[in-house]
Amino acid sequence: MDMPLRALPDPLNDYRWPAAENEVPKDVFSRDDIYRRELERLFAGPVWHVAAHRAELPNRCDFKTTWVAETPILVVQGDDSVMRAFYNACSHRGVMLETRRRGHAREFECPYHRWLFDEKGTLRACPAENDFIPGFDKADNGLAQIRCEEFLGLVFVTLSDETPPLREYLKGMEPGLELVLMGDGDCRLLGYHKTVIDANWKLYRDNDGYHTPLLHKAFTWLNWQGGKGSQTVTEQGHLAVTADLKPLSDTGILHDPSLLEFKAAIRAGGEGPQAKTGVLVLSPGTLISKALDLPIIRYSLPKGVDRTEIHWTFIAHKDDDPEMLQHRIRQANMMGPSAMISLEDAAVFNRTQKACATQPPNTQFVKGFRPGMDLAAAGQNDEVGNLAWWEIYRRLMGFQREAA
Amino acid sequence: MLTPDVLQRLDALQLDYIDALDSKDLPRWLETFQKDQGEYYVIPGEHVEEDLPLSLLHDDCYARIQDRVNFIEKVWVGIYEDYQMRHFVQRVRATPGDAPDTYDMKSNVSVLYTNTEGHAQVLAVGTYEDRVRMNGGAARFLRTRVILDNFTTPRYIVYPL
Repeated sequence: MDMPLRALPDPLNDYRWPAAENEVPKDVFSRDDIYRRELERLFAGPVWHVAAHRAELPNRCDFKTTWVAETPILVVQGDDSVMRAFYNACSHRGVMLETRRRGHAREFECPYHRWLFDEKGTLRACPAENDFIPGFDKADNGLAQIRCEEFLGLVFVTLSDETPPLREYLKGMEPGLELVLMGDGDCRLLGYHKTVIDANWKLYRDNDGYHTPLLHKAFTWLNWQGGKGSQTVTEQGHLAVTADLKPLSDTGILHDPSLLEFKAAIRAGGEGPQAKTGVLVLSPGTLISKALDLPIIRYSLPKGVDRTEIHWTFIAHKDDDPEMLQHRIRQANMMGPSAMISLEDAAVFNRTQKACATQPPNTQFVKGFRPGMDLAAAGQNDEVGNLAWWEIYRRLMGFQREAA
Repeated sequence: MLTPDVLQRLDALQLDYIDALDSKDLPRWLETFQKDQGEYYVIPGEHVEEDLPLSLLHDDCYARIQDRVNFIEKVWVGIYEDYQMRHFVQRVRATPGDAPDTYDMKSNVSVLYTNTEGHAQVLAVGTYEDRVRMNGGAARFLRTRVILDNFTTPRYIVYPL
């Protein structure tokens, strides 16, 4: 007699989140079963992911391939200028359709059985169609499309039908996005710094966008002083920290202080958005910053529970004159995985990952935290801003809090 | 056609360069560049392919190279995870340059690194594209371009390659 099959209980159903609102369990960074649940509930869940910026595929029929966690996707600018996203797999036998990182193509051909798709994902040709299953219709066999919307050139995708419209999802972040994308987001690509960190994607997300300047010894050396600013925390768990940034004074440390010029601020007379600096964390895993004259989009691509690929994507404004363009290229020495100011960040991510299995079991956010506080009221330098996102994460993952 | 003497001096310069880096002797590495003129770049290979202007390390003047040495030796002390490098270089081509007493040289390079736990892996693989000036007996780099085949690096880069 056949035994009835019964699903084994998921051990994560008994997982308990700490009662204290400012604590996060360390094992969320290291447990493989939690990572697996994230793929299902978070990456394929009701959130928008930044897949590209128009600067990376600036012309009609340009494309970029990327990933939403373990799902390969293909972003294409149609010959109608509309951005579309597809699962990067042939609709026949599932072969990855496009393997180049970026490029220009009017058609995408699968090498296996020569199925041919146009830049809007429509199946145009498939050899030996007469022998196919009766009723086969090319119109029903285009590439599986992914929801895709654009804001200031940023191309967002979501794998879920339940995700709210993009403008609603980004509510409250518009001024910050305008600041870091230089107003209208009309940008050109300068290039990438791509590297791997030996840490969970959430450690990157949690720590790279906002941390106190204490980590950066270079700030002292360079006399880097952020001015008056504010932190915005939105309902969707996005963060924006923006501040005035005084043009840096030459402390006599650098042989080449020209690198530190804040050209846009100087040109604007030190006033207005050009003179501001900003760091944004877009949930779940994209950071966008503009420090001095250096705007950067940082994609974090999880490659397993304890490994994350970071693509620092450097952009300039399309209207930059040659002097400003060259200045931004030089200033890339300052920010990035191997740069003057931010090299030490990666060391912190890796060291935190190594110490996940330690006591106490929870990591804590303390600066600016008051029990029961309104997280949207976080001050410019408070580390509690991240807690809004952690609460969204906890709910999406279905983790119950321990009783207080 | 380059004389054996010129080739010998080019190789000596390159070996001095890699030995200085593997010894973490950054002032000695700096000395392999032409004073007040040397330039140093590390460029992701995909940027060469796609004609993108950004470098990973971009020292377009000698002062920038000096600043790089200062940052490693003075500012970053104690904040990065250290590692030991070993460079392996093979010159594949050398030709006289456009200006008198200059030579262009291309070499294959691989750099292995060992972390503090004793594990080794490839840090970088690619080519050096060098421009060298002979000053009487001594050779110095006017420009070094490191083109990375592995444009996604396995860790952040502290030391020059």
